[in-house]
Amino acid sequence: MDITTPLRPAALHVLLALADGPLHGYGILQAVRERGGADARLGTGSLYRHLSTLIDAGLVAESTTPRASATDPRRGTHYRLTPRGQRVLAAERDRLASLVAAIDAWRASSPKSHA
Amino acid sequence: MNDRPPADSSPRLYRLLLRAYPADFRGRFAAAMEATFAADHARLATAPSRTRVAFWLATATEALTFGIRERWVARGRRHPVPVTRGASMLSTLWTDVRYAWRALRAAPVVSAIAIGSLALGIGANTALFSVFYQVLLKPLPFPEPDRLVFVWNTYPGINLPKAGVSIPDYVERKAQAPALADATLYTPRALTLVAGNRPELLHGLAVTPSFFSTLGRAPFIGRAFTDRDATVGGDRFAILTHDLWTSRFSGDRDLVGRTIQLDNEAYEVVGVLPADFRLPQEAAVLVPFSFTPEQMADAERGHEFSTMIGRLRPGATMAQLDDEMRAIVQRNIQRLPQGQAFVATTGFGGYAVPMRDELVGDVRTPLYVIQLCVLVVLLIACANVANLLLMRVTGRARELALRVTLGAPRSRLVRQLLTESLLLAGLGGAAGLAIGLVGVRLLLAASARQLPGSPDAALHPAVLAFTVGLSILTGLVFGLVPALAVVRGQTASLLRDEGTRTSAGRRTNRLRGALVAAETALAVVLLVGAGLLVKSFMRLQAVDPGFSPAGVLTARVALPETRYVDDATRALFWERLLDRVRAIPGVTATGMAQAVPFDDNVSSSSYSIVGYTPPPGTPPLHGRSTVVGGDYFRALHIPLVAGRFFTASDTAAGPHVAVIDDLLAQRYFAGRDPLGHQIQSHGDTFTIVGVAGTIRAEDLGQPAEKERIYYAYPQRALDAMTLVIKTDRDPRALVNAVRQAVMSVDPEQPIADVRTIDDWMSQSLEPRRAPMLLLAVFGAVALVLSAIGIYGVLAFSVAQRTRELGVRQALGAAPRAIFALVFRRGLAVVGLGLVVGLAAALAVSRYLQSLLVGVGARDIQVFAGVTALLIAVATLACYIPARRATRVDPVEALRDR
Repeated sequence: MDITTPLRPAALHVLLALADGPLHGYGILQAVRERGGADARLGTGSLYRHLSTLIDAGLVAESTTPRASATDPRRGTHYRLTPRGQRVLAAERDRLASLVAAIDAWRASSPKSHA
Repeated sequence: MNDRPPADSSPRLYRLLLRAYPADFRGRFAAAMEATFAADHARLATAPSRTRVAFWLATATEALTFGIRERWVARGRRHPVPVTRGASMLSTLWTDVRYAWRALRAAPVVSAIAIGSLALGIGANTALFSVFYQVLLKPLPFPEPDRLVFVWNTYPGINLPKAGVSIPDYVERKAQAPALADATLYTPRALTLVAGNRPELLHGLAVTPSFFSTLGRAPFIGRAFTDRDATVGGDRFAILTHDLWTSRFSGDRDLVGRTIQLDNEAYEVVGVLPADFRLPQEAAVLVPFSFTPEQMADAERGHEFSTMIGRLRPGATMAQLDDEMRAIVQRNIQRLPQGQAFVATTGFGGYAVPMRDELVGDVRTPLYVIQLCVLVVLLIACANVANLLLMRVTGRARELALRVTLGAPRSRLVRQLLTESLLLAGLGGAAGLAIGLVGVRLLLAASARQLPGSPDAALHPAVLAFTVGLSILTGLVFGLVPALAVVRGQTASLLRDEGTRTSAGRRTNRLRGALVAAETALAVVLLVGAGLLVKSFMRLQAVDPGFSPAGVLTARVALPETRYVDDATRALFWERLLDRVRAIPGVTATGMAQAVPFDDNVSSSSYSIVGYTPPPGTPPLHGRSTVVGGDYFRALHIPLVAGRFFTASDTAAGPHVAVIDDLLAQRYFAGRDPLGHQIQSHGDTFTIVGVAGTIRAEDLGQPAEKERIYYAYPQRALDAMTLVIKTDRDPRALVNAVRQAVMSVDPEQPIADVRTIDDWMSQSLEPRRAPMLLLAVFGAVALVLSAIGIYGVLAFSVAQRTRELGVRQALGAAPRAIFALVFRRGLAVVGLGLVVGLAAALAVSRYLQSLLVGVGARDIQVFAGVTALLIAVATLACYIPARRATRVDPVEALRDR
């Protein structure tokens, strides 16, 4: 995946959820849902679909040192951002920021068009 | 809340949904997804059911759409270059077919066995379906045939459930039953056709002009009968069947409008029936059925020599028609009070039967049962071939594994294997079609007279479609098993000992064994049935019918009323004919009779014995009656028990005499001498002058049930008689001489039904012979298939256990022990099938009882014989694989895998 390619909103949310550190699947679901918004309607199926693309693109990796959870062994698989994932996230942040800046600048230059 | 899935079922359900994903995706994520799903689902424990339903819907939709998408993507990954798309598809197919052909040739024995079993299975199905289709499925050649019904009279009170319809019954039902849109009445009428100097006795039908409007068909050239054609005295018109038109008049279109000679009178041909017109009974020519006023009068009621067909008004039901016929009977009773007692005691009425049911008769159930049996046989053939193919795929495990390693996609291998199966099925189907076409001829030859609608052996498109469809289906069914094994990557493990160690392997092995046991059991049941029928048939042929059928030729002569107008001219004809026949060299005795034994021409009448009053409450005496002339008794070697037979002195003018059979003598003259007593019948009184031996004339398998009275020809004159000619030579050699004798008396007089008594008897045995042949053939097919099945299962298990067998040998097991090891397994399967089959045969063989003569349904000889036969065949089938097991080279077996 090219770093300059815009990410899908849901994929961006998944990367964002992993920015704070490795999480298991349900953790990602919860984090995305907490941030809310229309993009956050994520189910298990779509989550793993995005995860599989992100993993194939090298942005996310299955955690090699999962935080062991004694209570529920099935939650053993964790996911973390790869360095490349962090770079993509940062690039996406920059891209969006510049997009927002551009929109702001445009709004400032033509105030009448905006109520 | 009870409507949510139980706590432990949701993970399973989800795991099921995950099957939508490709295997490698599942391998990577399934466990994590299940965990995530479980956590997510737990959240909903207290949610309203609507939310949960929405959740499950979303989950299922996601899983299915993404799963299938993943598969699509995964496919793209595996096929970076689309090697088999578009134009190259055909060439791939061609490659597959060529490769499949090579594979089949590489294992000629297995291939031949597989094709052979398929051909047997498909052939049996094709033959039977050909009959099944024509009798039960092919639409009747009339528009809206569902509205056509046969209408019968019935007298339940005197045990006469079905009788023909009299002319007044027909007239009033047609006019007074609103449920009938139209109706027709017809009656058989024998007619002598003279064309080109050759007289021929034709079956004719006299039909009312409404015949054509009721059935909804018209002649294909010419016209139908009009009401004017059916006027008494002016009804000399004829419509020919297509067969007669082509065979006797070479399809001459100009014949319509011309006249032909029927019974010495000129009939104008007004039309020819279409070739596919199916007459309700066999006939070559139709003439108008005209009614005189006397024939339509009440006095004619009870003269039920005609058959009625009605067409229901759209929407009307047969129940309505039955009700309306009841109402008509009630109205008649009010009009004719004297008939009330008769209707009350006999229960007289009318009833309707759908045309198809009437024509199909009682063969429907047997046909369904046999077709089902044959389909089961085919299923077993499929199981066999699947086993054989599985064995072969296993043998090719290394080749297949190599191809996968070299990058062949599994789907490609599956397609290849399916091509092989379909090629096998195609070859089996082609051979099966050939077997079927021969089979249907045999089937029809054996049972044509029992099948309605004279089915033919032609290949109907529906039958061809059935066979082709069946072949493809069988190819897919038995091809799927090895193909699935390849898909699951089991080819290698099948060969390793895991095949028998894993529980799944044991399960499939057990299933395979069970299949073979089942087919063995089926073969046993069929063979026992066939054995019982064969033994019964052999007994039957040894039955003494009470007369000697050897060397007897019969020929029917029917004198037309138009030329032989009175008894005197007829008597003269018979007298001269008998003289001429007697003069034929080789003839030792000549007689004639109203009917000969087993010719299906049964005549009975009521009679009374002077001085004998039947006990009150018993029906009047009723027995068979036969008018005989010449040396009838001597020609058939019917023994004389007492008194004398008829002589030339029993003339029409002399005292009327009768000969009774021994059965009558014992029934009503027990301990007394019947000679000299008198019998009243046919409005006349006859003195008993002799007692003849009892003969079986209708069913060789049953002792005669009805007593029989013989009358002397000149004292009761008839216009149709059958010559009975005894010779010490081959009776068939006399046919021409008999024809010439008839010609010499009257050149325009045809003869019919020229055949030996043996022919008649053989024909009467047909209802017994046909099921015997069917069961014997299907039993043989089932036996062959089960032998193949036993062989297949054992050979497969030997291939599977090669390593184990090798180890055993290496450890010093004697070849004999190894042989016994394999043999035992085969015999266990066969033994199970044998026991189940014998038990089933014991349970069902009593359904054959009505067909058995002189053999019990549990005849020990038959059961033992079948057991011995089966064990012999099974031993042979077990021998080959067991022998192969002893030849396993331990070094090879151990090094190899």
